[in-house]
Amino acid sequence: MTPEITPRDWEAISAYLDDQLAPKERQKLEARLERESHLRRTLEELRQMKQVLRAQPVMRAPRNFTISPQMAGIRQGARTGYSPFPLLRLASVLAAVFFVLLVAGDLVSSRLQPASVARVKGWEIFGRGGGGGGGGGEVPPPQAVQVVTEEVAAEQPAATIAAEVETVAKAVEVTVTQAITEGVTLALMPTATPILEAQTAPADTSQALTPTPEPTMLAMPIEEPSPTPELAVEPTAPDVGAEEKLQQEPGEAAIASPAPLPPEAGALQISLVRILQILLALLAVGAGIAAYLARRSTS
Amino acid sequence: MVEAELIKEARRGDLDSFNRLVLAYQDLLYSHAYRMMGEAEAAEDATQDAFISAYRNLGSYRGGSFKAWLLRIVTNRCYDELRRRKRRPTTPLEPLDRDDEEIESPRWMTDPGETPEEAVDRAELARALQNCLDGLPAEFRAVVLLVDIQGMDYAEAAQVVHTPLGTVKSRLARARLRLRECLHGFWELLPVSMRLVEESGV
Repeated sequence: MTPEITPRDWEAISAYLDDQLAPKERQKLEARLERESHLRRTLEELRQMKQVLRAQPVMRAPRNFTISPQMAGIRQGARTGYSPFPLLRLASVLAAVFFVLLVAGDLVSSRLQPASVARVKGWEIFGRGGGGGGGGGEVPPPQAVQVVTEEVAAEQPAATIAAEVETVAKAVEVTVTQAITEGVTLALMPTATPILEAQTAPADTSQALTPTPEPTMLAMPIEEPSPTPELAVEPTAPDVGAEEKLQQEPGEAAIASPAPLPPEAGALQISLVRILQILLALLAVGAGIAAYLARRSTS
Repeated sequence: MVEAELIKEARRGDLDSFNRLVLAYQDLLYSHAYRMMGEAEAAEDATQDAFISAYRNLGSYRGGSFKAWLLRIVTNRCYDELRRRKRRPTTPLEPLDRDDEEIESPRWMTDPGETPEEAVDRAELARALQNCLDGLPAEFRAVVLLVDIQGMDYAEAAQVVHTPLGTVKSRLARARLRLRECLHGFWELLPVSMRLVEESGV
């Protein structure tokens, strides 16, 4: 009666046939092959079967499988090696980064500023829509700038760093807005801010409000000033605003009058930040999903 | 033009260079796909998809065996299709003869050097082998095709199926055991030398 071949023996014989046994195992098996005839028969049978398989012919292709330019274009949409995945991934990451910065800046500014100052001073700095980047200078009315200066001075030195974080966040916010409206790649470098410039030279507000080449931004009051004395915005601001208008580069939007705006306008400007946040979040998610699909389609 | 030059040009976007590679490897890929899928139409689809995917992903080819790289792509395509069919079984698309047996494409059967009887014997053996291969799990079938039919070593086969070498060794042994048991049913089709081994073993 022929002894059964154990699975372990079978695997050893199979590997031995392909010269894939470790030296020690090979020696053991060869010693057993000399003693056990059924192992020898199994080895020979396996060898013959392998030869039969190896003798199977390579089948001729029924037709040519060459690729036409149309096929390559339809199936891939681009030339060799191109995949939209890296670009989409970068877009998703950038959108997510700017979204986080925008939210962080918004949170920091809302936490650091007293509520009353935040309402009155609620100057929204935003880029001019549809522009080619050629904006005006930083033009918050001098009274509001002075209010800011006073508030900052009152909280110093503890709030210095926080104010700088706020201004950096707002500068990034401006840059993001510009890039979105102009359709260009977002710049990551924060730019000088008008508030800082105004603070360094409060005595000479006209010079402090001189337009700088970049960033291009306009300051618009978003809410009626509070009746509290330290936050009062005097009606003489229009004169300064007129001076600033003359100093602006051509093609820029007119400087906003410091006359108090209806609350709805202020709320509208605040909601612009929210819209930007939502848009960036959607862009991050959308680009991420597109990158995943692009990666999947190429795998 | 040597293969390396063709690959280099193809990676630059030269479709003609890539198509020359297609002509060089299409028989190999089609054979493998046919034996994986067990039918001609599915094998054609898998082969065509594999070449298109290869062209699109030439940027991911990092050198080494181009043959193994292509076989990996077509093997994966076959796996995908087999899994899809497992979820949604389909009826065979091959035409049937008078005995309701599937008529396979005879293209690969032509060999000017053999007699008609030899051709018939060879065809029947091939059919028997294909039946036994079809009975194997897809992963087992792949390693048998790569090692025993394509002649790859374990390392190259491991690269194609993207599994450790030990797994290839184990799957191959189990696949060969199942093939051996299956081929006993087609004993009369086996070459005489194999039958002699069987007789002496009884």
